[in-house]
Amino acid sequence: MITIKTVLPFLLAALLLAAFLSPFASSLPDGLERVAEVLGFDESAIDKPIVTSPLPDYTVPALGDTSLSTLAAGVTGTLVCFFLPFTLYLLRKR
Amino acid sequence: MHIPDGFLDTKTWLGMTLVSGGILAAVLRRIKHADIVRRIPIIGMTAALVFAAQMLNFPVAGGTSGHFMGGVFCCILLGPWTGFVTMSLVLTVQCLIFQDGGLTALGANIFNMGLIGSVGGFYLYGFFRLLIWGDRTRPAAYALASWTSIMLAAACAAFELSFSNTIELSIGMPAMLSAHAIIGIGEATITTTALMAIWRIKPEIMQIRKF
Repeated sequence: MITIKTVLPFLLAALLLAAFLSPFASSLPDGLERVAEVLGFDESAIDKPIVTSPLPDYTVPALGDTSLSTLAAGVTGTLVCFFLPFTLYLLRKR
Repeated sequence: MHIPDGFLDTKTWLGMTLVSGGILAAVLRRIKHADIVRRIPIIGMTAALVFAAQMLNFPVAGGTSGHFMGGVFCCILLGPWTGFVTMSLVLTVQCLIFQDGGLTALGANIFNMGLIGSVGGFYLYGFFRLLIWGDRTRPAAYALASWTSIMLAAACAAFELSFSNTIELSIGMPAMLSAHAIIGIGEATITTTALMAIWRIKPEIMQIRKF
């Protein structure tokens, strides 16, 4: 039987990655962004988003563009992803 | 390779939203309560790992970075269709909370990375397992399937960009494939290492029933 206890080490690993490695992640453009730059269609990206996100670009706006900001955003996102399946399941069961 | 708003024209993003939304709805209807209830902790764990690992961009050649996609990782752990739903969940969280990938492009991103790169990658894994025989070659099949899954997802993005008249297929396709051929090596390394580590630490997680 797989319980939360079984998967806890992996949740911890995910939290550690998000907290302590994400501030060191490369900020170079990713594959698609780079292709868009080189081929000159990066201009067509809409910078102003259609919906405003609470943690844009994996930062907490109140903390600015700092490592702490990325750390907090990463930990939040990891926890949201972990608990969302439980939440959706409970909502659907009702 | 999260496509932002603006790269896809209306017919393309609307079409991809309908396709991905339709498949997601069909899959969710078929998932049975009894099947899902015991697997919620593993689904949460997988979603958390994919999310965290996707934040870690690593530099590759030519001023470019790449990051883990995790489609094959997700589907090997959960099975193809639960993996598809889980990838869709992560992509939706990234889009809505972190502004990574446009809302209009969410359907396309779910199609590229959640369906073709994940479910497609999962069946590629099965195919590679048939080609290379035996348990000892499992890591090779993980690596080959995850590298190919990145190439498939990148090819889908190139098709959508060309269908949107953003960039011609003859230019966009080779550019996307050559950039992602290198990123795919990172994907293959991370997928293989992570799955073999889970086999070693908690084999019972790898042995759950999958669908």
